[in-house]
Amino acid sequence: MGKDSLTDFKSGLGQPTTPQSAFFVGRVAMCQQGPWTANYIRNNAPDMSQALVPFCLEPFLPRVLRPFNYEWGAAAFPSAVPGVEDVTVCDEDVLMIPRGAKHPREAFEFLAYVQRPSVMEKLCQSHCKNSPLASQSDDWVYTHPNPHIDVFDRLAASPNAQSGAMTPITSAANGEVDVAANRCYLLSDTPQSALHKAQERVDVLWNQFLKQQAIRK
Amino acid sequence: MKTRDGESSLAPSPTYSGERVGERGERFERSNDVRLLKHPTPLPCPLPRVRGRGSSDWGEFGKGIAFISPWLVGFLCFTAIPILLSLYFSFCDYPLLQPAVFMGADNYRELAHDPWFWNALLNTLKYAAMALPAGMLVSLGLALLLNQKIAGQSMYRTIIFLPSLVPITASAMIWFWLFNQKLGLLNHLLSLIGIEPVPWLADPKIAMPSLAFMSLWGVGHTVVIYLAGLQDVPKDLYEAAELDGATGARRLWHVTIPMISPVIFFNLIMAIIGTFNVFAIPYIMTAGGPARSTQFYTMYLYDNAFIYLRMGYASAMAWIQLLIVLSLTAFAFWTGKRWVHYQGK
Repeated sequence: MGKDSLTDFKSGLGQPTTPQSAFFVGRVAMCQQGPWTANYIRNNAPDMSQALVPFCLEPFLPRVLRPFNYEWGAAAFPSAVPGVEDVTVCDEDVLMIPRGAKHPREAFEFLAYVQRPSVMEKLCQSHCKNSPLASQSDDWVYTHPNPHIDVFDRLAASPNAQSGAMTPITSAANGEVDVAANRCYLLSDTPQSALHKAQERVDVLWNQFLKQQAIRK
Repeated sequence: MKTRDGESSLAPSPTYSGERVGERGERFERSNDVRLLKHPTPLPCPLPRVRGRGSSDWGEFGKGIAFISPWLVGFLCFTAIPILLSLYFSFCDYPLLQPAVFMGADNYRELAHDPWFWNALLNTLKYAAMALPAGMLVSLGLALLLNQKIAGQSMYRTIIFLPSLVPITASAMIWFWLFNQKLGLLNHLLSLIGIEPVPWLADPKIAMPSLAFMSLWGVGHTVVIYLAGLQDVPKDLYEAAELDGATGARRLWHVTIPMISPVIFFNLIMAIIGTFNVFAIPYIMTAGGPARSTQFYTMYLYDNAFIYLRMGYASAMAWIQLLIVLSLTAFAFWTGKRWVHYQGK
């Protein structure tokens, strides 16, 4: 164990969405990922999703046996605060019509089409994701290619689900947190000190942003 | 001295007295200004009259402009105007999706207090301090070796130049895996002689020297330029040096290096500019990590422009970068007066 061993171990790991992913090749036991990982597993490590029968025969498998066709599972991340369960971060894809679009009416029609429950469910199932709509069809869970979509649906509906702060400094703030994590991992700083430095820097960025907004107004 | 038309040229030759004497003995006070002839002799043909710019000259000028207009339009639209706009934006808050708002020198003041700006600048200078001399020495050494008359010379030259033809992204991926701590070829070779695996890109202290070492991969272009310079060195100088008893090292130091000093100077200037523009390779191989120890100036500039959408701040960084490169280039030109020798001077 130790920094050098961890660095050595990490250097042999592939990128998360490739067939060399540490989780796909069995070098790590779990990873922190979203529902789309099911799609990557189907494409890059198909054996993990057809332990009993191949994909094409899975619809004929009794529902009680279906979980056994998968060598992987999904669960909510353990909460750091006792009593506060199902804490998660929700991201969303946004469809928008840019200003100056040549065919805004047609674009709006397209958005309306995509928002139809049946179309949205099909789109989300193709990505192995959960649906952003408030309700789903009766067989949503059973026909979904992600065998653990119910876990992700529950997390998305959780009152403790948070979305990332949508501010212009979010990317920079994430960068500061990355640096803090790196410093801790490299043992060049303590977590408390590294986080304190990141907070200081984010405060500076935030104050600059507020100042710029004030000038704009 | 005859011209192509068989006319006698008026080009004077200098004398020790400072006066200039024409071919036919006419005396000039300075230069070849015929109006300053002390004792003018009849000219074989009338000199062309110097006219003001008439309408036909303007027509010629217009034609010239029309012929270069494709370049001129491109230069104005894609170079000159963006450069001037970036100067204006450097004094603005410009988040790309909203109009630019003038903020005075705020961006420059903020840069002065931005620790990541200084970190990126320092990283770039560190890289320059390692990659620049290493690249110059290795490429000169390779060029000297390739200049020897040996069997298979052209094959060696091709091999040295080949890496320069590999796309940057491909080179970065190749070296990314060569440097891999666990699976990389470099550590495998080191393990054969009993050396522990080196975290080439994972250790903040080693990552930067690793990138500088990797930069030697692309010295092919510089080697070719050195080779061209080496082949222009007059052979009689070597013969004279040999007659004077100069050994190989002395010939190199007293003949070769001074004679190719303009080429060395050119490569130095290009290397200064190049090291301050390094972007793609570290961006692909380390993305600035670990803990921003390999975040170069251009990478931080790119992040501000296109990740944080702070185009005004990035423009200010770009102008500071320009000033730094200009200062270093000017310094190189100043020192060049002492060590660059041009033939014929």
